[in-house]
Amino acid sequence: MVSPELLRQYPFFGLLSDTQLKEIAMIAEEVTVDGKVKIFGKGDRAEALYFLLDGSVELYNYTETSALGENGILVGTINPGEPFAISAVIEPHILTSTAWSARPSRAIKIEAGRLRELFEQDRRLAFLLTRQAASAAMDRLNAARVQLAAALV
Amino acid sequence: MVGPEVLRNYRIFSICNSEQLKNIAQLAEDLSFKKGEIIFEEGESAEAIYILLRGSVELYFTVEVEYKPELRKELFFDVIKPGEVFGISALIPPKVLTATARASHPSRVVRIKAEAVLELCGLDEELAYQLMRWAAEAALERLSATRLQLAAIWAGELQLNNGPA
Repeated sequence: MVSPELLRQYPFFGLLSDTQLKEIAMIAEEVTVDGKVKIFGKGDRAEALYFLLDGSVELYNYTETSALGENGILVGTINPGEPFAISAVIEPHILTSTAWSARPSRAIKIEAGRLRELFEQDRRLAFLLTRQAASAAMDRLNAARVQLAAALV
Repeated sequence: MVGPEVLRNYRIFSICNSEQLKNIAQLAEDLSFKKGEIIFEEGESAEAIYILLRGSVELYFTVEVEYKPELRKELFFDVIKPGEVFGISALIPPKVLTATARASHPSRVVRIKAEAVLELCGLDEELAYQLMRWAAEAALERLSATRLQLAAIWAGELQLNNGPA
């Protein structure tokens, strides 16, 4: 469990009620990684939603035919205050990138199965967090398009 | 206005009950665009969601390099086919369009005012969640496709495409 007050500090959880914050806090834990560690892989089922507190997480992608190995190409960087593994709240709940910590990092990990159970019970909570995840996806889409443009110009 | 039965055929509205569909249909208009006509432009406030009924719509964004107008390029990243929905930014904060949509063939679209849909969502949490779930899925699909393009370019596997065939 983490403190609801910790969650309250971040805009991602900003519109949740006290009760909703407590419910999320109950199914969350704080996790830390030392150095460069693989957190999850592209194509894996999203078992948790993460929220970075400190450090940096890099997202990698690769094509089926690329000979770049397992890690592939850097397609995004997660900074403190940002969610990652947002596929945990977006169907089909399959991760679309591989995540590695770039340096020692600390994150809130929210168990996806129990979060989705909460979504079944509380549609307002489901709407608010899914909207935040959609917003994060749109931000990343814009960033990816800028990268794409830079690669093409 | 568009008939509620037209909307029922599309996944985004398949969860709506008859009353909701009727309300949304009253907010919808049926529009036609000639080949080459702009439907909306990137950077504008996103005020509506669109369903393509007939034709084809290309989504692109423009890249400009300061002091080098010759390097201005339209980068195409998606082609919308009949039955698909576009303009999803209207449902997702900050509700700013991230691409330009242009009819690449004579096209017919349904345009639905997003603000009014969101007002309906304010009255029905299930509808609000289902619409947002759909929008999030669409955003994630597009993100995944764009990252794949990026990875392919950097891996040297994709020829640069400056426009649709």
